[in-house]
Amino acid sequence: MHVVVRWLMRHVILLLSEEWVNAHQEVQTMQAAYRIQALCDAELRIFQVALVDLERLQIEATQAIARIPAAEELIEEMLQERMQQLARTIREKAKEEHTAALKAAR
Amino acid sequence: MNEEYHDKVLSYVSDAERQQQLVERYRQRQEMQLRNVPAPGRPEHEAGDIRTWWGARRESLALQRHHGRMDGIYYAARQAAYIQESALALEYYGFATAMRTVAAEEQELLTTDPNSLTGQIAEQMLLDSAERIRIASTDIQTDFRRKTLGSQ
Repeated sequence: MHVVVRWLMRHVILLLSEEWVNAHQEVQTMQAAYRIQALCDAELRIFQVALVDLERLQIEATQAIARIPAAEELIEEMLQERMQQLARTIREKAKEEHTAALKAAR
Repeated sequence: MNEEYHDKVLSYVSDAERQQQLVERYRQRQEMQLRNVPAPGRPEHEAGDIRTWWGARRESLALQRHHGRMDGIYYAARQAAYIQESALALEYYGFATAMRTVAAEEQELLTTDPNSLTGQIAEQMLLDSAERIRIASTDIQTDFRRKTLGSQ
C-alpha cells in the first residue's frame, strides 16, 4: 500500500512542480511579449504624432513664405532647425523611456 | 513610392521573385516539419524485481533509483523543450511585431512628399525608430533569456 501512495505522491509532486514552473515560464514570456508590443506601439504612436507636427510646421512655413517671399531663406533655415530639434527630442525621449522600461523589467 | 528609400530600407520585401522564394522556402519547411521524429514519451518503468512473501512484486532500491533518474531526465527534457519553445515563440513574436510596426510607419511616411523637408526628416525618424525597435527587441529578448535560460 505504502508503495502505491509513495508512487502517487511522487508523480503528483512532479506534475505540480512542472505545472508551476511552466506557468511561471508562461508569465515571463507574456511579460516579454507585452513589453515588445508596448514599445512598438509607443514608437508608432510617437512617429504618427511627430509626422503630423512636421506637416504642420511645413504648412506654416509655406504660408509664411507666401506672405513674406523675401524671408524665404530665413524661414527655410528656421524650419529645418525646428524639424531637426523635434527629431532629436523624440530620439532622446525614446532613449529615456527605453532605459526606464528595461530598468523596470529587471 | 520613394525609390531611394525603398532601396535603402525595404529592398527585401517588394521584389516579386524574392517573395516567391520566401513562400517556397516556407512551404518546404512546413513539409519538412511533418517528417520530424516525434518527441519520446514518458519512460516505461520496469516491473518490480523483488517478490514479496505473499507473491506480489516490488522495486528494489537500485531499481527505484534507476526509475527516479529516468523520470528526472524525462522531466528535465520536457522542461528544456518548453523553455526553448517559448524562447522561439517570443523571437518570432518580437520580429513580427517589429516588422508590422516598421511597415505601419512606412505607410505613414508614404503619405508625405519625399522631396519635401518633412519627408526627409520623417525618413530619418523612421530609420531611427527602426533602430530603436531593433535594440529594444534585442534587449528584451536578452533579458528574457537571462531570466529563463540563465544565459549571460
